[in-house]
Amino acid sequence: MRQVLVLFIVCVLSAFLLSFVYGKTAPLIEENAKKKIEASLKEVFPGEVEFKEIEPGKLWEVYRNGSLAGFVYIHGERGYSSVVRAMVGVDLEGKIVGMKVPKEGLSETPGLGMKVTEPWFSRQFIGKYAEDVKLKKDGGDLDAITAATISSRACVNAVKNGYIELVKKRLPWWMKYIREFAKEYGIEEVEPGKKWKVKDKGLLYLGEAEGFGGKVQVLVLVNDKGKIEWIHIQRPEEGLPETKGYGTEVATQEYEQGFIGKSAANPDVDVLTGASVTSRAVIEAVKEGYKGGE
Amino acid sequence: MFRHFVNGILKENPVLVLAIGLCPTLAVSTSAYNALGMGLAVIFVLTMSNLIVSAARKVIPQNLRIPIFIIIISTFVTITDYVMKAYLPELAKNLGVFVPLIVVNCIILGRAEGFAYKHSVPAALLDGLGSGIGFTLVIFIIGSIREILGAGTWMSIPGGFEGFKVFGEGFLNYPVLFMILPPGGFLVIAFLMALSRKLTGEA
Amino acid sequence: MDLFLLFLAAFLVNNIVLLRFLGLCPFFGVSSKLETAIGMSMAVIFVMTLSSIITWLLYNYILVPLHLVYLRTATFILVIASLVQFTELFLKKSAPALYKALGIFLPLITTNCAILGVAFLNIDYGHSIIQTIVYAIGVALGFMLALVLMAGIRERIEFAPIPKPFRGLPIAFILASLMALAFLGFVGLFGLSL
Repeated sequence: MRQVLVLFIVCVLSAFLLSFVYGKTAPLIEENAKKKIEASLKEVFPGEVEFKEIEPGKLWEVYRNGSLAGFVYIHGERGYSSVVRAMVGVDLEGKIVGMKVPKEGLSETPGLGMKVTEPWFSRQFIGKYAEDVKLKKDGGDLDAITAATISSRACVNAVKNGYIELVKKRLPWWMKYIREFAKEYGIEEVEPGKKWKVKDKGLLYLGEAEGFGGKVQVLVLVNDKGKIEWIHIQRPEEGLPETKGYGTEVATQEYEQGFIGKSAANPDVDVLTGASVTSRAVIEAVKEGYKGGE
Repeated sequence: MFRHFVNGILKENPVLVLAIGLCPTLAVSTSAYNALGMGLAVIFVLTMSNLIVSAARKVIPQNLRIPIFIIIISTFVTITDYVMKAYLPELAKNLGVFVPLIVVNCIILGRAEGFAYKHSVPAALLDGLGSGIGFTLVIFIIGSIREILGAGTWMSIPGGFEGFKVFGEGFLNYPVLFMILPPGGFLVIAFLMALSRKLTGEA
Repeated sequence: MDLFLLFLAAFLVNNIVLLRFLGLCPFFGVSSKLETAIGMSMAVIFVMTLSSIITWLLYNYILVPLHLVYLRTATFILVIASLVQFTELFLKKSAPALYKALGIFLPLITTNCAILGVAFLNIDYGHSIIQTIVYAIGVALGFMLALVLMAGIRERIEFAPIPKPFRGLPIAFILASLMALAFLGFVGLFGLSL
């Protein structure tokens, strides 16, 4: 009986000591792990940025000066003899700012498939739209690794599918319009998430103002004479926080028509009856975004 | 009394003479720094466990002694594991699974059972220190040899000091890789064992 | 196919004794005679597989849900020690001949770092229960392979003219070095690596 008591006391003492040490060290250990991940994330999204984990091990939001600047995601696709994982940093347009294939857990053919980890291969991805990456032999413009097509293609698919599955649905509503302008005319970023220059057309900007139920956003294209050529008011399904049936009546093509040709600095547009707060918000948003001109 | 201390280092050196504690010796001796880290961890666990076992030897029942030894040892091993992970994460990563494996390091259980249980606290303490230092010495020598020949550096510390480049920068491009790999480890120990036998007059 | 590769990796490419340095004490202590080598290997296969399963269940269904992960080392080794005790008693009753044949090796298995090592590795690699079983069997068979090969060679080498300082253990280590070198050749098999 006494023996079991001794055993029991030893166990209890041990458990106490251990939980004490654990309590002291666990936070430090977590911090170390976090720092390591941050270092990794910085490799694919450099700059003065902060990361916020959205889906552990899969998706992070990237913030610059407090506002969303992009995403980092990790996604894998089956390669030749292992899963090829790509860690990708994309900006809000879906353009790749950094990419790397971590060596841990990668088991492709040494000297061939393993080359996907080499910097020259990942460097190719920078500047391309994550959704459109393709190997040259599949109709795109990325070089595959000679004699390692399967591994290369797996990497490309990892970048593309990861984007589609994790990032695409989180992109701001206006992204698809930016992409369309980019495809049709070609654009240049002037201020990330705020202003773009559209080739031969003028300045495209995102304006914002306080509406009835929250912030109302508009996307406006002005020509170099300061006149509005195109405008899109945020729709309810795109996140417009206004009252259904009232404020939402502002977010229509008819109301948008009223802005065409008007001056962006001070659009002379009628306020919609029954939705004055929202209309005024839209007008304010047009002015707000244009402030400062080019 | 001092005899106990010296024994652990020479005549009864755990690795070279008694051939125990081999697993970590080979696995961790790929660099002098790793070896030193492991050695210090073992010294800590060995000394503490010897101390506690010896201090409580009148209270620990004969037929439950092995499980109790194991609990005591694993407590200190876990403490070492977590403290290392918190304050020396790079070392912890290099040593990997061998830190928790210190719990089955035959040296520690062997000394607890074979010495600490039957001797006074001061004697047990010295014995623990001695054996621990003996172990650390050997593993450090092996680690140094393997690192110098196999990587061209000595005392390179991950995340810090790059190490003394003993044979110059050029050697770094074509070191004797064999030394860092498993076969190299076995070979170095074989020669050290033979050497120690020759020196202590056993051969 | 994945399970087969896992087995192959455990058995050859990442051979536990020669390339991962686990299980060395019994490897050098028990390999001087072929008979004892086989006996020890059988015991190891049994204990390793069973302890891997039990520790896996313990970890995933008790330690993790109760946030007691830091008790991992202590509980695992206690499980293994208990398992070995239990096996001893069980064999004594039901297969006394086998029990006698294994002799001292059975209790020695508790300190075989390969057993505890594999238990940890299963957790660290995030194996499922099936993968755990395959991995444990693969590792144990790899242990047996290395042990049996070593014993075979050592029995022969007894009759060779070995210089005095090298007799016994040192020459065994040189043997291990050569064997490890040979096993390194398996790296790259089916794309498996160290």
